Amino acid sequence: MVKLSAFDIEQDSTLWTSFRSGNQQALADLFLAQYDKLYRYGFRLYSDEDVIKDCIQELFLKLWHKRQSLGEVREVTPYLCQALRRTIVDSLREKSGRFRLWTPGDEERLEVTFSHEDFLISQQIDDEQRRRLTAALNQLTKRQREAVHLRYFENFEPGEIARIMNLSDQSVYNLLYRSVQALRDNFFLLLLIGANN
Amino acid sequence: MPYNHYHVSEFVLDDSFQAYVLCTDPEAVAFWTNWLARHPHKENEIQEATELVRLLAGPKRTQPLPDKEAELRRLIEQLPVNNSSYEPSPVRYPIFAGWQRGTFAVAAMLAVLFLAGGGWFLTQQLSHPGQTVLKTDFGQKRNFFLPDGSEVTLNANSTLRYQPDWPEGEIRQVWLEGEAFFHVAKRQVAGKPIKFTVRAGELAIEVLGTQFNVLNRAERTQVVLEEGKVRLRSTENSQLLLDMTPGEAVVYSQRNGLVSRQQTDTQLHDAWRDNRLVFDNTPLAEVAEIIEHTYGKTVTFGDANLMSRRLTGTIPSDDLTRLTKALSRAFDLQITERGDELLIEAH
Repeated sequence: MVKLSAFDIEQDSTLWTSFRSGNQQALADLFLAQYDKLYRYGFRLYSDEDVIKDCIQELFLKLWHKRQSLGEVREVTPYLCQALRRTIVDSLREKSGRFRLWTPGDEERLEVTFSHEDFLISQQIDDEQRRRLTAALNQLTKRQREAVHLRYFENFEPGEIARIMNLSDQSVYNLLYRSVQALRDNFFLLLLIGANN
Repeated sequence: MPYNHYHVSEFVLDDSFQAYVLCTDPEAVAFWTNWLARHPHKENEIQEATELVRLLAGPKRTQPLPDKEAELRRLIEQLPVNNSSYEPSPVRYPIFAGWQRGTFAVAAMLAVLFLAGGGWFLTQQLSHPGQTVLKTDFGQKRNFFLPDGSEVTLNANSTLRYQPDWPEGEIRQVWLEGEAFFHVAKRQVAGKPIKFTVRAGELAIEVLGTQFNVLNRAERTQVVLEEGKVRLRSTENSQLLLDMTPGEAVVYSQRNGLVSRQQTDTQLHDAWRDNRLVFDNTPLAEVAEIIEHTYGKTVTFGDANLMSRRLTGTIPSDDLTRLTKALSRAFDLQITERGDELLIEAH
């Protein structure tokens, strides 16, 4: 698992400070440094390339516009992921004339789903296992799926996941714990039985 | 919790255990190999946990990613003109006595030097080369003096541009996006009055010396004349549209080229200078538009019917919190601020 070093975090937050003060080079550096992570996160929530590309554009334009009122941010990536999520929700909202209409179901439209292709390059498992693993992952609750995705696909630390999902560190641990338990029930025990026979 | 009390799920979630399974940390590998030798009864659980970690944290298909350099170029093209490269000092310039002609010329030169530092935003520079740009952010309002001594109050989220040197006797010209109140100083050369022109969208507003408010947003330009005389022309063909008299409001729509003209209470239109918003049978949708332009918030309505509700009254607009508080109390609304968003609902 690749961990973000303290140095990376330090660099990100220096870049952020420079961005806030209106430095356009910092805007470009920040954009390039964060783009892949943001795109992967957004695309997993809503798999439409054009929508996610536009949302990232909108997010950076918005941040640049109000840079003077932005606060200090220690962990930039989780902050941006959370902001991107809101931007995606907004862009999916029904529009009524110039203004958006709020519907409580908006948040629900964003969810992580897994596909068996995600595991295609893994040498560890065969087709049947891949199919079952994907099915088991997709049986997790919506929030469990998001936590699993952030932890095991995007390699975020639990503390960062807490920031992205707006949860406490303990809730993130609980989510992941219950996900692993559920995975064992749905997939792993079956697999063991299958292997022993 | 000590490791011998761990079960499968706890092992799976443990950072050090993951590092052992994935062989990313030699210390962790050494530790767990040793630990396993001393706890053989945990073997089954460890085996299951190892499989799970391999599955979950193992290699995944990598998404094809967009060309981020191309995306960056797209972003830069959308950036507002000349933003922030020149931030005028927030200090109010001393009125006339201490004010020197050179102030803005020097500031503009600094702006150009600063811009030259990073080559890639050249596109923006080229669109208005050498111009002095005065700019306000959301929720901000500022007073400026122009090189001829005319005074401008720039409302939030607005930009005023002009050529930095204004030769004696030549026409004085500024470009406006957003909203501003002008108090134009009268100038004469050899007994001949010198014109002052505000270019706002497709309108050229020509004056000799007067006070007026210009609002140029969302393809709509509105001019409200407080005193003096103003002549409106089309910027496209310089065709004369009309001459305004004090107390009049003229609205020009860029979408259909329609001009409407009516008598108005001028205080309605420049109350923003005293941090007030005055509504006179104003639909809530229009109020929302003002909030969006002034504070950069996205307004969302809980119910489409609310948009056509009409408000009459005066509310403070020093800052967004005061404004929303007053709005919700006076008009019985529930207004929730969430990040960049303002949700307006009926109570």
